[in-house]
Amino acid sequence: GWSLPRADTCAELARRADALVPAEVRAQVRMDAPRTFQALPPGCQPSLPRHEAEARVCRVLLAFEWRNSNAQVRGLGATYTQGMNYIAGMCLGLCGWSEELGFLLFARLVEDVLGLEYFCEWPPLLGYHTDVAVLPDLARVACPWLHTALGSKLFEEVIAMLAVRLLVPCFVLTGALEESNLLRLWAELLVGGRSESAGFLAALSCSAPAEGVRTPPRLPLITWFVGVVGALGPEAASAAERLEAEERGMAAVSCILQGLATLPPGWHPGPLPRPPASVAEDLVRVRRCLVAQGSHALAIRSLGLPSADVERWQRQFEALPQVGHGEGIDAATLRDVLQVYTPARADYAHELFLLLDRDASDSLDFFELMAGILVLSRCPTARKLDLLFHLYDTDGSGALEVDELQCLAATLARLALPAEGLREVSHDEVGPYADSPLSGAARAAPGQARRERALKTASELEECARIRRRLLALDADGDGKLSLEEWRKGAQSLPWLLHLLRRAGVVDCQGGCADDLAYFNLGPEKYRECGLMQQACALQ
Amino acid sequence: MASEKEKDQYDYLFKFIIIGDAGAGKSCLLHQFIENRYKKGSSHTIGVEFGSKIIHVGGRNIKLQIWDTAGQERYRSVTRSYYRGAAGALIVYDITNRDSYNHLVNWLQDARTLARADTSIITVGNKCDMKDKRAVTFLEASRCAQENDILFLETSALTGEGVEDVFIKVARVILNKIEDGLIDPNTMVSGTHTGSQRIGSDSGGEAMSSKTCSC
Repeated sequence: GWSLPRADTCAELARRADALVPAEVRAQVRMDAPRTFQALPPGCQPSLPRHEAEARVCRVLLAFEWRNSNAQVRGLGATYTQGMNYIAGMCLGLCGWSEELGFLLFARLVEDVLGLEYFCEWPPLLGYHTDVAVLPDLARVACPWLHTALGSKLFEEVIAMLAVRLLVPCFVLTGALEESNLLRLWAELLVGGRSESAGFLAALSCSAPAEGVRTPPRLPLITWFVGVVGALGPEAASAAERLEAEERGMAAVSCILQGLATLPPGWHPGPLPRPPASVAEDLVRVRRCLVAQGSHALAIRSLGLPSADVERWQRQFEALPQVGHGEGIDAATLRDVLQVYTPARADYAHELFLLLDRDASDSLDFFELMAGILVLSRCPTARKLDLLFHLYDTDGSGALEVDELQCLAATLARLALPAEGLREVSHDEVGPYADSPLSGAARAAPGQARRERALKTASELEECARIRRRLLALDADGDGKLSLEEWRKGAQSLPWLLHLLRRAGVVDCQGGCADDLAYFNLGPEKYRECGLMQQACALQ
Repeated sequence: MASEKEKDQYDYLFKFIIIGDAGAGKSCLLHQFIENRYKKGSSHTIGVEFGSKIIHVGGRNIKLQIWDTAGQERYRSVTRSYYRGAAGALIVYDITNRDSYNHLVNWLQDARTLARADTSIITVGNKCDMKDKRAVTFLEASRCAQENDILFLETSALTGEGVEDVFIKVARVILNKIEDGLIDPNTMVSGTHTGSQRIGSDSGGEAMSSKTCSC
């Protein structure tokens, strides 16, 4: 059963949050709530007693935290970040400090306008890093003098320092924009983007086709930022020019921050120097890259390998012949690697490749290969099954949900039925299997592309459906997904699963586990110095 | 006019960075140092804030350029870039908060890897006016500092106790290193800066930066 907390009140969610939100997040929120009010403009100051206003800021933030920590996708869910308290205070202020209305406005702003990823748990400050990647180019066009005065490197640093101060709290900052200007910016954020608001996540999700890029609803933040640099940059440039190099950056930042309040009421930033579409494209590109890096780090952590080793292996991996633009290695490369290291295993390369390539990208990324090495190592079958679980738990939620099960089932179906080249099936036939109730933006995986395997043949489809039913039979508590416990308990008792894994060379041919066979001679203690990567590099 | 001009002249420019857990009182410490008073009704730091002040140490005028950073763990990806070139680092913890003291080693590691190799580091036990809530003893922290070969002082950003001493102590150590020839100020990238050739021209700088220190 899917229960969404939307019908609940802020007060109720905040009450539940006391038990469910991690203590350090609660402590940070409680520490910051009293430090909110100085940043709010006069019209948003509470008329209620200060302690009650603080309590409301706390409850809005904690209720939101609960709402999002309860979301299925870990990593990309928003979590409390300093500055969100300013936004919450502003939302409450705009709603006359009504807690419920303020909460709804806050949720609307963070979820639909900024996007949950703006304050996502991992990678931290994704929104800031994404925007900062496109801002220097825009700001440079808006104020070339500042760029000249500072030089490229310092200019970028100055823009980044301004961006974290202004963008993260949506310009709610002590002594910043004059109140009517701030309200107009917020109106643009909240109302101006309405027609687009359906899909910030959709616009930025991995699965969105490039031509479907829409204007991100948080574009007003970028427009105002660039406008501010354009308006106040010249003065900052002349202030900086009078100083020694070491003092220029600080002076430029200070000058622009102080200039914000001097922008007259009614001031408005002009249009962006470039059409918004290209900015949106840039944002999508940068965001993809950052999410990939972030989820990569998250995934590697789930393998429990020492990070220094991982970094070393990664460098070696990057030296391998890659598919496309540094995407990963293909089946042939994997075969070559196996051939050098353990010729007996090379025969399994194709099946192993299918098993490891869980996103059907026809290339193995570093994480997939690392998981594969561990799966093939001489660890107990139970551990291998755990690794397999983590490999397919692409969102790191700790459970295999419908679409992840579909992915696993599709892989196993391919293993069960080696390419037979049967007829292509129509979309209608694929439909029932390829569609998942959670597909699309709401289920965007953290980076690892969650593309459904397109099943080519009718027999694969049938096999896939059969396997999916068998996997779902392991779902003891009937919640529609497999927890690690359910998987552990069930998987070892399934002869057909072990049979399929055998086809990929993961378990031995006697039907038992591979523990006694020195396939790779990689005991758990030996994987550190496993020479696989070094061997692979020797191929070149 | 003449005095103002004199005020803006300095022999060296040192970059300091203030780091430590959220709520340890980093910004209040900076505010107390620059304005000589405690700032009530504070807000927290997002990213970085600046302050600067000229102090007189060992017969020299030294301009301190101080970078005050956000303490929340989630901001580390941002604040890491601010360490570069820092000649001095203040690691602030809250003597009434054991956790903030326990995280000292992490901050120390950040300072040692991200700032200059010869950065002078001081650990600062703040809120020493709250004696009844003390969770970290002076002795314990002082031993820890000794083991890690860094300086140590306790301060109160509220009363001002020890605040100026912290900055002067670090500045003096850096100055000694320069005069002993351990640091060549001319080879410094941006950690310290020789300003002796300059006639003061940043008259707005001081007032400007103190304003931005919204503690």
